[in-house]
Amino acid sequence: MNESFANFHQSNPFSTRYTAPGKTPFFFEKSFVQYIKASRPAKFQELFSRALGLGEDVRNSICLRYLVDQFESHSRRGQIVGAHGSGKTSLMLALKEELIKEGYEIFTWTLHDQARFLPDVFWTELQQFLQSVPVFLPSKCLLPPPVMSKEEYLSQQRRSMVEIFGKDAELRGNATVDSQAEKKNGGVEEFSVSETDAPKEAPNDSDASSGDVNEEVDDKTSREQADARGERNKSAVFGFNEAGNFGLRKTSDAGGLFKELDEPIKFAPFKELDSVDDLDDETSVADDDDEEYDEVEIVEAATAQGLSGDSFREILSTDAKDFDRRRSLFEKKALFFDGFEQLSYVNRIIIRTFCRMNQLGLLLTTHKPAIGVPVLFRTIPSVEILRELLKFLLEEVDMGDEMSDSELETLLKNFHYDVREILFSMYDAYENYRLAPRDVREQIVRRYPR
Amino acid sequence: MYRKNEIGFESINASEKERIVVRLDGRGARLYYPGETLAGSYYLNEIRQPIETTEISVLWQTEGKGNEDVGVHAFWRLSVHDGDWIDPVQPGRFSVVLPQCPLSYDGAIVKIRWFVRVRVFLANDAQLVGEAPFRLGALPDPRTL
Repeated sequence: MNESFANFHQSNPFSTRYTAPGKTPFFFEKSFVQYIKASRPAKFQELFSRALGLGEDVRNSICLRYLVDQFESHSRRGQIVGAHGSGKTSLMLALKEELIKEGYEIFTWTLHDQARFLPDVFWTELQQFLQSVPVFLPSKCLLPPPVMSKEEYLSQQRRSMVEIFGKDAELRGNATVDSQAEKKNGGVEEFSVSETDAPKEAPNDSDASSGDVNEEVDDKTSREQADARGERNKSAVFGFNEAGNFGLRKTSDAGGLFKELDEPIKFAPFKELDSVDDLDDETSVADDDDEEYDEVEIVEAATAQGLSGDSFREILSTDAKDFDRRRSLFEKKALFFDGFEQLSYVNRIIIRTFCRMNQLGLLLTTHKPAIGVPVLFRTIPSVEILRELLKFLLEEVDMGDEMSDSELETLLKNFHYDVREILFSMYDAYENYRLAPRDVREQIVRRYPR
Repeated sequence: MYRKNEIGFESINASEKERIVVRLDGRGARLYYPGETLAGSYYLNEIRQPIETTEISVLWQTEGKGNEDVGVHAFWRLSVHDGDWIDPVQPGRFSVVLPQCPLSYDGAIVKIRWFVRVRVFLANDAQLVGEAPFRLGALPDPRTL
């Protein structure tokens, strides 16, 4: 048996098998734990107890759980900012694991080779990901606003309403858009679907099932009349808002058709409506102050759009159970986007608007902070992190004494704090060490790449 | 505390032991030639959780600085959901005829490694992995060239 047989099981510890993102844990500095302890002591106690109970690495568990908490408190939005090779993707994958444990479904997309535009397959796969919910979801609500004529748009809306509420439901909408009503509603067409409770009125629905669409002259008056007849009105706003988002908002009461859905349903381009429901929720409107574009303010949007007047008040007065039903379909779904800085300006806006419109979680990794997304963490390689990483990778390899802080600091400076390049150089150094004769190995064991 | 494993890494306790042992039949050097039959057995030690699925695979994998490449030569799956009987006390057996290529290679830029991997899925969604590397073919060592 020659020497190669004795050593055939030895892998290079710096090969991508071990160093690729997700193959190694993300190491946090002690100072970050101290920051958590100082800034939020109660939260630290909770996370510390939990980490001890789970038997995991305490420091990483606390830090990851803290970042998950920050991610959720910022309306499930965040970004990881850092230089090339600083561990952004590793941290993102570590957070992905934590979120999956919390019941999240994650759609991850990675951009490479300076791809500035999103391919069609991205939207296809994202739509498949979003539609993988057990609740019916009209696909038209998931795409950016289509380019079509107003007639096509209205007919598509009618088809969608029939698709949603069934053929038995009476569909009353704007057959022809009244200019005054449009002006009043801010360009948002409002449909009203009524469900008859009394069986004796069922034959009257035959007119509705024939597709006859009645124009609403006065929405408030018709509702009062319908209430007097014992009907329960269902209405939905279906149109564009100021930001150009295309969506559907139901403004009905708690009973009726929507009650039959098994899953809580909500489709609200205006996330601020959640703050009405959950006062303890830390979804901060203040976080949106740094938005420079495509942001929708709750008051302005509510007053200027179809949510004004009765519709908006109706939402506010609806009971808590109905608000739960209105919660986003994608409450536990998130999009993780790696390499966000490579996208063009327009594509960045589309991604952010799309996630905001659908209340889909969004986590980015980028070199520079993107506007409108809170920064969760800034990855900065340090001597402490590099030492932990090398210790992890070389745990089964006897490489002599550990490197000193000055050596690691020199290594970081020579490679411009790019840990990925350091690991690549370590790979070559290890191969030189492994292939060298035994006496030479002892000489080069401490000759780290410069 | 973390430990590297075949998938990536896992958080472990210091007292945790190897719970899957894979043994290969043969001459002891774990050297096999193309067309030869590879046989072996695997043992599950101290697994207290119910086992749902056991996967045995014979595969090769590249190593290097670039992207990895993986090829699965043989794969068996035993699952209690499919009516298979998984006895954690009794060792499991496997046997397969090895292919002609790719041969094991231990270069500086790229390496090709063959191994037998046993993966156990427990009822608590945990995974246990055991691995036994071997060489296919007898390509010369780059150090001897």
